[in-house]
Amino acid sequence: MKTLRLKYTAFHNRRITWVQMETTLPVRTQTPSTEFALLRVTALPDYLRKVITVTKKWRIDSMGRFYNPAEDTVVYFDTRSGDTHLISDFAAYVMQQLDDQHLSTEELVNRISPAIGSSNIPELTMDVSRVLEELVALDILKCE
Amino acid sequence: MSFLLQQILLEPRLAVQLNNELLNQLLSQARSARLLATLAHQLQNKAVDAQLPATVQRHLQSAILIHEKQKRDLAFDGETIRQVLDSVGERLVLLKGAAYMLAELPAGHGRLITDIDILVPQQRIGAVEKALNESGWNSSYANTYNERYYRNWSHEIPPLTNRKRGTTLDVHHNVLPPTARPNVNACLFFDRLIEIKPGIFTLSWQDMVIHSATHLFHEGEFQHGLRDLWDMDRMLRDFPGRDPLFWEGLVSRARELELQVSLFHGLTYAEQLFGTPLPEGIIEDTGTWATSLRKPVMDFLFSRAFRPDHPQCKLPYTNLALTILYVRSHLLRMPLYLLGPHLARKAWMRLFDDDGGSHQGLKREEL
Amino acid sequence: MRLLRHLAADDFKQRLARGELPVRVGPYIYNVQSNLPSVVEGFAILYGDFQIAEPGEFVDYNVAIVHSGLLQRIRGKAKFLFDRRSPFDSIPAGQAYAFLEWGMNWCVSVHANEYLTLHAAAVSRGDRAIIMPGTPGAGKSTLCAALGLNGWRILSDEHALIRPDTAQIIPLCRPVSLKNESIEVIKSFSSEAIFGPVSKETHKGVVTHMKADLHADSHDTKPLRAKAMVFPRYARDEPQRLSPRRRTDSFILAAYHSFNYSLLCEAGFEAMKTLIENIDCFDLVYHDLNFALNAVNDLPDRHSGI
Repeated sequence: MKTLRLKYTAFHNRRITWVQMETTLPVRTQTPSTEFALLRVTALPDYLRKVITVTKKWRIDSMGRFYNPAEDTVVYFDTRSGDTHLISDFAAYVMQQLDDQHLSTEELVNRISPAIGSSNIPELTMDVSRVLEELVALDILKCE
Repeated sequence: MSFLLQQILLEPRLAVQLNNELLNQLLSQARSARLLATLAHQLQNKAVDAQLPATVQRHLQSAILIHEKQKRDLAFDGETIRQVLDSVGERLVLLKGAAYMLAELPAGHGRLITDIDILVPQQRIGAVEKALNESGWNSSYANTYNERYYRNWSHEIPPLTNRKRGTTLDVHHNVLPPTARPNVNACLFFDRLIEIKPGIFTLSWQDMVIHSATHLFHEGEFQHGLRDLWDMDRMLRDFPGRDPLFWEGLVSRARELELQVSLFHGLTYAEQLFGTPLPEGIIEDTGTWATSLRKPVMDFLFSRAFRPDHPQCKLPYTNLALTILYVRSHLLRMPLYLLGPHLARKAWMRLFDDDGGSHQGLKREEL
Repeated sequence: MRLLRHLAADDFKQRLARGELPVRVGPYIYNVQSNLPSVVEGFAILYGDFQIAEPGEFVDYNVAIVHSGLLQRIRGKAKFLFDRRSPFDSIPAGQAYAFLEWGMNWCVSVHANEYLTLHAAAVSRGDRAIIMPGTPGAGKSTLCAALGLNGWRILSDEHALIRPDTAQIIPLCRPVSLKNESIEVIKSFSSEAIFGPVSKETHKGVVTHMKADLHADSHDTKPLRAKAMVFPRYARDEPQRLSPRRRTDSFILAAYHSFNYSLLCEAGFEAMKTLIENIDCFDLVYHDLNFALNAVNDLPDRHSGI
């Protein structure tokens, strides 16, 4: 039987994503419910991978809006793309360092480590890099 | 005989005199012509919308929201596409609705688009398509006949869709198919591009009008007919102010592109429906003895085609007129020896295949 | 204030056939037209207590479900028309009533952008209103129907209309759509359930509609303050529970189930944020309808917003 076929497209339904941030930081990151596993950005397709080096500068063109009700995930609305993301509080924290700032990964790590009381710089650098990679894949972040 | 939507578009202040039934008809006609957001914009412009009942205003506002959302998406997607083209050394040249919107032309006010149309030199199509594919813009065409149709006989490649964003991109290398008459030299467009934003280009103002007319008068389906004519009217009122030489070179440019017949039709019907102010004698300049001979027939056909598909505006014999124009457009697009088998194949596919696609060589509507 | 059931049967039938039946549905007026017997019968059963709009009022949505032409009638096909044009392919006439209801849903889903519209049921008891977003197969409509038969007022089965920057729901009460097994579940649940025509072999299986305006205030247009959002999930093999759900998760899921969240851009984000900030969110996993009813009846009121 032919399925119902709409001649009109309704409207642009922009992306709403769950991002599973692989961070192991002081604040425990709870994974979102499994029923929405399909929407997780866990693997980046090749064409989205960028080479992350610690000396590259990061920026956010125009900071969007956050909904942060003191849970370990934060809702972020990206005003440029119209996408909405559920990100870890750590990712939101990293992003907020880039408000009006161009910072390299190294500068970010140096800024963050005293604030969260982490002295394991190599591990923190890896976590920050991973978060930055995810944010690039979501078109939130630019690298220059 | 004018119809309600036409009257109000030209004179928005008349809307305050309409009762609820007529307002309902007005909105209904506007929706069927894909002009609701345009109407809303016109009413807003003349501060008429605030005088209408709140129950009406919410529908107008709703349409404007859709337009504004599209505009934002277009800005974002346009920049993405520009970067991809830049990576292969090509400029982003926008056509039609996307061009009007990003260039912030009056023709773009309240405009709704179904996809983004761009122009690329023919010899670069392969490289451009590859770069777009690698950036997540892929053809959704599974059906090989439709795919071959596009590549062999059309002036555009199969539509590309961005998997992440759902936006559709139409990559053109010309304004008419290679099988059509006249055979347009697309290189001429590239000589006169205008940069509307850093790295984003459109056709020149004259070429934009000529392209709009060509697209409209070679088209087989007219769901967007009135809207396209409105685009032309808006451009013809706006461009002379931007370029004092606009009118002077328009006809000769159309002749250079061999598209003066389309321009003739465009000017004729824009003036007929929207009272577009035109310099004295310009229609006669674009016309030929053939166009004069055909004029009564064309008037009959197009006066029906440009009315919204709505019982209150439809003239008698509209279905006949639309059928004739549909056949005409196909004859313009390809010679008979190609057309016969093509139409037969399409009819077969329509009856027996469920390719699930919204394109069958024709664009589907959007709100 | 005239209700549909006040019309004489012949008058009703003729007005419906001619498309002269403007009906008030929540904040909107639909003008409905149909010449198909199943639709005439179904509309009379399910919309009897709806108000007929006054002549001269602005009609928001002109809808029709008709055979369009002799050939269509012979082939047993009908079309849904909006503004006298058909946005959808034609359908078997036996499914006409279901398609009228789906079409009427579509009108709101696509055009009602003055509100943040969630794909959700909404019910209320006293001054407490609850939103139940509708993941497909989750049992939202079944639960909504059961609540409606259990003293709750059904604000909507399909569209929770949220006034932006408030936590207010605008009522839009229309029949509840029930599918497949849910139909028998509700029939056994209460003999007071009133059903419209049954449409078989639709793309969702067997579909029917239950009269939803059973409450004295069913057609009241005053907005109601939402107190909670409950995400129902029917699961035969899982332990039943009502548990709090995080606000950020709920935001995302509600946005995913919204018709126009993305369209509204920042306004959509702010509207959803205001809503979520001011309500409590829960997951409800159930396989026994009575468990679900009790859970909703006894929802904790932990709300601490404005």
